[in-house]
Amino acid sequence: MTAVIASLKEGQRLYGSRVALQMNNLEILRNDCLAVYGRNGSGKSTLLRVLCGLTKLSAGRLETTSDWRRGRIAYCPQSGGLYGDLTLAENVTYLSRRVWGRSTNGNFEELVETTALGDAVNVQIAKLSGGYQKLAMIAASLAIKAEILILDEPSSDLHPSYVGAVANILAKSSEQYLAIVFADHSEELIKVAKRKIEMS
Amino acid sequence: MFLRYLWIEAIELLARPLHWLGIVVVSIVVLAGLDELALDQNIVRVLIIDNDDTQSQGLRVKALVGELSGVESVLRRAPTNLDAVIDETKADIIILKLSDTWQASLRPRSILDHRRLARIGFGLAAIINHLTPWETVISADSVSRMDYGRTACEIGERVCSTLKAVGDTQFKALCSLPSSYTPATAYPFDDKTVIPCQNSRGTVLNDALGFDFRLKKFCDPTLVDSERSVGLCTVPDAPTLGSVVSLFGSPQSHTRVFIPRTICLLSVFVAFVVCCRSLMQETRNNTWPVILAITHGDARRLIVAKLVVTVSFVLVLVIGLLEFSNIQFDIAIKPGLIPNLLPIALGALSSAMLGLVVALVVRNEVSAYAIASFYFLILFVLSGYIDDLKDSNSVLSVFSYVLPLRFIIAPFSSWMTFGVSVPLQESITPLLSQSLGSLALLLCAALYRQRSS
Repeated sequence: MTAVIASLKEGQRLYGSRVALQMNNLEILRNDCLAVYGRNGSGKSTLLRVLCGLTKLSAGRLETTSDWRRGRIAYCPQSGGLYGDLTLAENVTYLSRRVWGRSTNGNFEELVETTALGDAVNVQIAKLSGGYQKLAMIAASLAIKAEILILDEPSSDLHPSYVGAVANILAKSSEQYLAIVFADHSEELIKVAKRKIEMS
Repeated sequence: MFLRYLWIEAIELLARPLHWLGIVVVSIVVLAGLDELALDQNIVRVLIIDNDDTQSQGLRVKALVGELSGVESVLRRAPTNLDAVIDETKADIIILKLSDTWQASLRPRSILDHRRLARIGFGLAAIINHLTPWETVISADSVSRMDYGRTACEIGERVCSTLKAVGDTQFKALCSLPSSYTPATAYPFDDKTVIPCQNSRGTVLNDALGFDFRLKKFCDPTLVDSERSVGLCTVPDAPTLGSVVSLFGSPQSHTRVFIPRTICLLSVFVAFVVCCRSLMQETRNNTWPVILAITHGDARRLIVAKLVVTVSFVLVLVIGLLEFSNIQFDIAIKPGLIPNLLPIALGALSSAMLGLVVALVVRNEVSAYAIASFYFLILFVLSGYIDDLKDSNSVLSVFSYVLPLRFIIAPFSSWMTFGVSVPLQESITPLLSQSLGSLALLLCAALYRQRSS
């Protein structure tokens, strides 16, 4: 039986009177690769932020194991996430120093090689196109040494061929992480997940 | 772990040389710009009243005023109509002969005027009553013991305390007694019992005696340069006349008052800006959630690291500005640097917390810039930078208590200008209270941010 490392029970997040997240039961398993999908405004991003500890629940609780709590989270937000005045290489160095080092799983290098990101590694993030900026943020998330990978709509702004490259990496990476959780609309990406949850 | 946060935050700041170097350069330009202010062009009018027929002493006093302060003065007689003469000449300082002594009266136009005029007025009156400091000190042996004691106290305290403040190394050396010195051998009396030099600072008398002792070594009374054209004495390595005259300086010059104040203002404002910028750029780039996610949303270490790096940067900046003041304005760094940086550090910490509060609450760069501008203006007007508030019980005055600058200007200026350290308890206690207020605001802002994100 696969161990549960985090579970959300009767989770609710309110902004004023508006319900941003309503999740009765969610379990995240060890070495999970969980895809969250659903219509806009269904609370996918809020759920990911709750898992990251960035947003507190208005009601319900998030129960986590010590492995989850000890694990460092590489979080890729829906937009931004990197310093615009630094290059991707500098951003990766900077973020890596925050988490005690670079990841050695090769995912960053693979993404750089399989996309056109190699040309952009030493270009200031602010000077890259929106698609490249998103790709750079995903790459940076893969580059840092973290136990948990959480990606918020990684396929947004990406060319379909790059979505495929990201999907390939996610498909084979679940064993390298304590858990991977991502929210997305792309079927190509969702289908590589071990488990899928639709939010409404 | 926390050291790593500190290191990363330091890199974040230092990796952007345009930011920190820009702050340093602008701070130096602001400080140097004080020298260019036209404040010193305000004319100070000195009126000398000597009702003697010959006015021989009055003429000498007039020359002395010019020599000491570089200010032109008017010599008049006013046996009956003193007020009318004062009104007519619009005098700011009136030096009046009363039987055998001279008295200086002030007619200041503002509080600021009063301070600078009081400084020169006191100096002039004291010196005139004893002719000149060097003549008095050098001829100390010819006066009575009691008079010598009074003279040594008055002259020595004024001369040596000012010398220390000016930071003149030549004079600083003059004001210290050699280790081999014993009053019994140097002077034919017991200075401990005869000289009535009561002062809370026990070093005053020693300073005065040291000054006298060393000046004697330089200047045999027969070698005193009567013209005083090159210096006190005819020996080349004696103190220059300029050094002595600068003890009192021109009463027209008071921009220097603003140098320590400006350093305080810069330290507080830079702390606000640097810390606010640090968090605003995380918000602008949306890197704040990325960094916080690493520690599951725990922002405490990150915030503390930002505060520590900001305060460290401000301290380095202040030390740099002190050194610049030393080079540019000859205001030496006085002993007691470390304890006197403590109020600056606390003020910077408090201001940095206010900067974080703004960055946490507004999240919008334009709003942050506007708030920073208003913060600067409020600091400028309400914190004692220009002058004290007239009514300490007014609403605006009470409001000024939330500004850290209010609590650091006085102790820092006192130390930087005169080398006088305010007891730490006096300067730190109100700052700690103010910092606690800033901390409470920061906690509220962090809670607000957490709830709204």
